[in-house]
Amino acid sequence: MNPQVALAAGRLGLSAIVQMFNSYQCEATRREWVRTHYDALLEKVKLEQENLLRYYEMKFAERRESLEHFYWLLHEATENGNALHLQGALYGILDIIKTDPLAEYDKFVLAYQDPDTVLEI
Amino acid sequence: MPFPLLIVGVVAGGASLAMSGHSAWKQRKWKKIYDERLSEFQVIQKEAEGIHSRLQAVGESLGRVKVQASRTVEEAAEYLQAVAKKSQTKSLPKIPSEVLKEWINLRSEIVTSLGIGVAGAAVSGVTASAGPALYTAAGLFGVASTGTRIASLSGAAANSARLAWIGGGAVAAGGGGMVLGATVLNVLSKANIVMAPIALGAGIWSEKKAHELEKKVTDKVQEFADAEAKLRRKMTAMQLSITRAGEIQDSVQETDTALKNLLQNAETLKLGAMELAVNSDELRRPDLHVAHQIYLTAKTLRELIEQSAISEANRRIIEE
Repeated sequence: MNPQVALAAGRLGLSAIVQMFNSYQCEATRREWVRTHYDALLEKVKLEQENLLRYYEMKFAERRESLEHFYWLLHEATENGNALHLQGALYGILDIIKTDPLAEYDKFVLAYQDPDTVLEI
Repeated sequence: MPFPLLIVGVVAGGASLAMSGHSAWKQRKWKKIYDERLSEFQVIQKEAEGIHSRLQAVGESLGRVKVQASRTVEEAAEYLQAVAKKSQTKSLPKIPSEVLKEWINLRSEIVTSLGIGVAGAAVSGVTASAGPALYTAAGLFGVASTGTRIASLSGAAANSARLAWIGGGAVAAGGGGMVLGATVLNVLSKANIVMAPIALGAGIWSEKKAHELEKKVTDKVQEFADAEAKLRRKMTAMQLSITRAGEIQDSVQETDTALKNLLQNAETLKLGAMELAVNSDELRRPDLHVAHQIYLTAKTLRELIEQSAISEANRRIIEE
């Protein structure tokens, strides 16, 4: 057999091994990138979810406190026939309920996602 | 067997064996990554379904409370209508015309809006829960069907499809590996230099298959992450809508109770039958005072009933 042919075949074999090694390296890098990129994305979303929930829970808790006060006033007014208190309680309840804190929720989320936006809490 | 040929055969066979072994390892690895991501996504999906069911239950409960309250408002409107009528016909304290007009308007508005609502109390009940119900169909499933791709991957039928999708490659590659082994043996036994490149080709082919699988899994991992991010945002919107629904329900219930108390306390109702009281000459200024309180409470209650638990903004996110 021609030694040159044997050499060429040997080279082919070696280049295949080198190619395999390179492919392994690329694959490992790519896998690492995919993992870190999407892990980071999901972490960011989880954090966003937690913060938004916390923010709105506080907001709802504040409203709840005011509403409780107005409910008490409402029942007190109906029991005692106090028209002024009744009117105040009804106005207070309606005013709070009509102001939907989630009315512009989508805009708030966008603002939250924008690092340049300063949120006034 | 000439020595150089044996060397070539061994090198080619070894390389292809290494490549096929490596590709099989790679494919197992990527399959594992895919399975991990899939099960993570399924956990989130389950969580989202739980929140969704809660939202539906809250919507249904709110619907019932609203229907009940709308009946009280209608009762109040009937009462006010009767008082207004009496004020016009009898020589009793006059109700200012603008107040009278408002009372009558309340009645006609109720007949119009609640008329639909009460006539369709069933509808009203559904209406309140229709939001969530509607979005159930279009929302969560629409969501997960963000989609349909993910659903099809994560659904029950997905397993076989997934196996077909992911396992097929591996099986094919495994098949290739076996052929490869035979080829290498063939090379070694026959010392045929022509077989060496074929063996290498088979190894490279199996590597290529593994590479394709890697690309597929990477795309799927990306899809899972995007879908999970979307799902999480929807979950937040749903959780907040649940809180909002609770707030509306409490306000409707409290105001409804107050209105019921007012109606019970009204002098005319104390007599037992509203008609009897209204037709008697017992309507006095305090009654008008109470009537006005009933009017204000009923008006507020009606406005509370009209409030939606899911804002347009939230609906957009949930149904996106």
